[in-house]
Amino acid sequence: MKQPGRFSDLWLLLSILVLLGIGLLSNFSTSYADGTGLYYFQRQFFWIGIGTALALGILSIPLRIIEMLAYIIYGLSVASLILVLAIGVTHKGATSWFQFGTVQLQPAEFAKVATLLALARFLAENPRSLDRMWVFLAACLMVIVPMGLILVQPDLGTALIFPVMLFVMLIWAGVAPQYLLLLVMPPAAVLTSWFVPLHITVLVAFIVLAVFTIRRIPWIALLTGLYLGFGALTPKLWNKLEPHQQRRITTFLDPEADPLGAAYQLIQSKIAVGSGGVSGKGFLNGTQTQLRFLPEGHNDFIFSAFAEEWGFIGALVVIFAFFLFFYRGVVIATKCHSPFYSLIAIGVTGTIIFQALTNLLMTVGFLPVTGLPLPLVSYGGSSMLVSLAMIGLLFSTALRWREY
Amino acid sequence: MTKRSENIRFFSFIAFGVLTFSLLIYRLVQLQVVQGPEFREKSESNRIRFVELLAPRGVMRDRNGNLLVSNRPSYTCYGIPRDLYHDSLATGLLGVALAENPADIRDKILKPVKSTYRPQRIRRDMPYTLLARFEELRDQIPGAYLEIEPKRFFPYGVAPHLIGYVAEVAESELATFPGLQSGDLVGKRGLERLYDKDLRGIKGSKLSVVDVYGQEVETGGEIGRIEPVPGNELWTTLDIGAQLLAESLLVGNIGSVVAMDVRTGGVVVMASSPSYDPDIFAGSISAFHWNALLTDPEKPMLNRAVQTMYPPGSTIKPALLVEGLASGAISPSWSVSCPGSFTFGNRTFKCWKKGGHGHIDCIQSVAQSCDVFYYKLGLQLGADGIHRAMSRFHFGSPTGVDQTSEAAGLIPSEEYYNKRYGPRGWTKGFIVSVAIGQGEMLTTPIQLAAFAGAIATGVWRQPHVVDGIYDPNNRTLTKRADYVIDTLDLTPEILRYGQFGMEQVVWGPSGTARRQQNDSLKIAGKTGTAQNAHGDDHGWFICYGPIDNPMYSCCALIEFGKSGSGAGAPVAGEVLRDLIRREIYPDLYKKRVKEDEESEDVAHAGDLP
Repeated sequence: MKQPGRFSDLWLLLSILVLLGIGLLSNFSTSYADGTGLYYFQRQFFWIGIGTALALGILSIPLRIIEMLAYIIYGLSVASLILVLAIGVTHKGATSWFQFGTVQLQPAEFAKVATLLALARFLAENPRSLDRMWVFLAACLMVIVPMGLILVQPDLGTALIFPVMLFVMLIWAGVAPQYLLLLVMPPAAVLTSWFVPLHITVLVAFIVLAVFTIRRIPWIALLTGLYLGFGALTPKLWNKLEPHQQRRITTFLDPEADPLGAAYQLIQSKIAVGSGGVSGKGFLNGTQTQLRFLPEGHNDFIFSAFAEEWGFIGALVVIFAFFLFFYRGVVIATKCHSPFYSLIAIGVTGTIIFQALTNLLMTVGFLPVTGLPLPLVSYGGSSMLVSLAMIGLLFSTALRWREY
Repeated sequence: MTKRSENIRFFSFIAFGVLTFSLLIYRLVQLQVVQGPEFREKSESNRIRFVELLAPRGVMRDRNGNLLVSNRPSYTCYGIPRDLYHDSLATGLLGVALAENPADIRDKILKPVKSTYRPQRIRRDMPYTLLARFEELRDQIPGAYLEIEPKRFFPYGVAPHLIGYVAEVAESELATFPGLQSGDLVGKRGLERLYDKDLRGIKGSKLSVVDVYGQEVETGGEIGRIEPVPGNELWTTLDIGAQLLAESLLVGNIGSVVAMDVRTGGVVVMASSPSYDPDIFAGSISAFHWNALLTDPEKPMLNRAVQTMYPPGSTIKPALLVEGLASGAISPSWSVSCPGSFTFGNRTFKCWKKGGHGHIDCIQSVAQSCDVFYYKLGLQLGADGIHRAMSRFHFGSPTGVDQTSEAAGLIPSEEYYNKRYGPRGWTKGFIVSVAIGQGEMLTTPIQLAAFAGAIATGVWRQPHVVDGIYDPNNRTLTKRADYVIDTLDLTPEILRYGQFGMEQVVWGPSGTARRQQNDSLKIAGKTGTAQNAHGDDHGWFICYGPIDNPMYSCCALIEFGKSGSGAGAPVAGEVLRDLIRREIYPDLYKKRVKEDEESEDVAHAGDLP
């Protein structure tokens, strides 16, 4: 295992530079295709500049001070989520933005960082109580508050990040398995409830596993109950979803069912990616035929645009860059002596990689269309600022890994 | 945390990452390497387009199943704003191809939606000259393409007023028609309007793969399709044969003919003249045509059968007679002596016959249409009596026939006069002229056709045009049966005075319509001549027949026809006899002309010019 570098981590830096570069190239290309001139490209450049400054600023602040401020930052972030519901700008049905002149900021993005910091501090502060119920419940509460406020906006895609972040950090902190199962069982029940044999198989597998690992009857009973309860409730929850959300899921499960609606994006995306072939159509050459049919080419489907022009080779570069990022992130998290630093490193890595994987698997038709941008690559001010701020934190932990 | 558990944690995280990233790479190999050439081919020569498929509007049939309106294919030019808006060469060429100002196309159609790929309709119903021009320029306008869409087709071109027409829904109407988007077609008048919901059908859609010229590729071009659901059929009570006859009889005249089946209330003929060619509304009507129709002083758009009100003249005399008898205002033996005029107060009212009729009884008052008889009867009845007489036959309110903008007519009552002129502002002299269907009394031809039917049968039936709605998708027929039927509350004896009077109009030795005598098809009628301040008098004739077994009633109005017997009677009499002949000698008439004209047209739909 290679140690983190003395000043920072050059491999990590390389992966980030590659991804930012690919993002700029793709935005140039989609701007070109859109006939919007260099609009997205220039704005992206601008946001990268601001974001890099922000990351360097964060890097220069001792992590101890950030640790001290973690709860305050979290409090301010929750307050801003409440404020956005009151005075935010509504766009495509979601009240998610603060408007400053021509700039729109999305407090939900910043809540990710704030929650990550607070969670890391909380879990690091209580290393001996990680098998206690109250620690688990408090950690959950810290996530549920901002997540709930984001769901109200409503912004399902962004809210989805929070439980994942919680889950990754709880595992990393070493929380007892039954608590992790407490988080896993409900979604597992929901996902499997559509197919009864699978539903039962998973339950049986869980019980067998639990007998050997958890070994406590009340816990097993509780988790089983939870599983069965959620399994039964799923149809009711389903009916509460907005029709367009239902359609996204059914389209994913059976694209033939709705070839004209939500599947349109998916079909276009797959054609774009597939037509890129091994070596791609070449920079700016994909736009003439396919990109103009690609919805959200600069945003959610930017990978498809890139993969069309740069082919399988280009796509591999993106994937390896993300994998490198992931690998270095986990290495840094492992090496850090301070639990707070370590949790920040894994939180940042987990969040960004989860988003990246969700987006990438979506563009190739392996996951439903969720509306999550590709971190560091997609166009978007708030998303870019927050990704770079998180990366600033990651570099900070890499730089200070020796501190306790 | 121990070193060992730290290692387990590290490796399980990395393993998870390797697994997921491998999944992604596997998928990319599948898409880009394995299926790459396939997708490449698709993307290079093909593009995907979302096309709305218009539902064929429901057809309308006459009572024998002949098509009044069906659909035929037409070519609509669509443009993709995103491709066209920024391409001034292409919009310029499109303007040339469509013979329109390119700036209009850009500003009106493309600009509001300039960034969308959703095709916009640029011109409906392209004529062949433009199609040829478009074909020549097509390669240079990849953002525009042609689509075959159903358009209204009128196999016989009959009854345009009754059928109405469709046009693009106005922005202001969108609230009235939930579910419609701007650019959709909607019924504007007549049956098209009233039954729009039934006729409309449900739009379908398709995703097609098109080449760089916007043409759907030949094989595998269509990758998703939702079939449109055709609209429901209207089964009307109209008879195309009789309708054609009525329309031909009206040629050169201004007026209208309405005929009704007195046993059901079904309208078998409804013609209005001057008329227009319904085909001009089928595609996109030009501003020139539209203005010509709107500004024509003879108002060809007006459905004179239901929308125009005229004084009924003497046609309503049977109504007053039966009212006089029923209310006891006069006895069956009541008679007057007609010297040719009647003096009331300081005014003299003339009878139409200058020399006078001499002794006139109830029957002869109708047969010879003696005005003096009705001046006196009118005074006996008073304004309210006349109002009652007319209201019995539903004059003064719309009949409720399924047509748009039906006029109510006007039957003055005392209340009306008091309101209009003040309680002391009017005299009984007003009643005198109303008693012969002049003055302020106004009726519509359809009201009079229904009136003739009511005299014939003793039952007033609400006229209607559509008596069934057929759903071709479910093969179900919904019969309409909610028509108003009103028994007149008259004894057969009293009603018989009205009937016999009308029989004597044709068959009496001094009847006013003796020329309508025809021994094999005996009809009864009543003439009417309505004074017209703007020119020659309007000529009315209402009739029913056969006398001993009434089947149909008919009403004809000829504006400026001078007299009912001279202008109205020949038209209404001929239409009525034609209808009776059609029923009693069915073998002489080929009823169903052709089974399915529309299927033949569809067969040729793919042929480009």
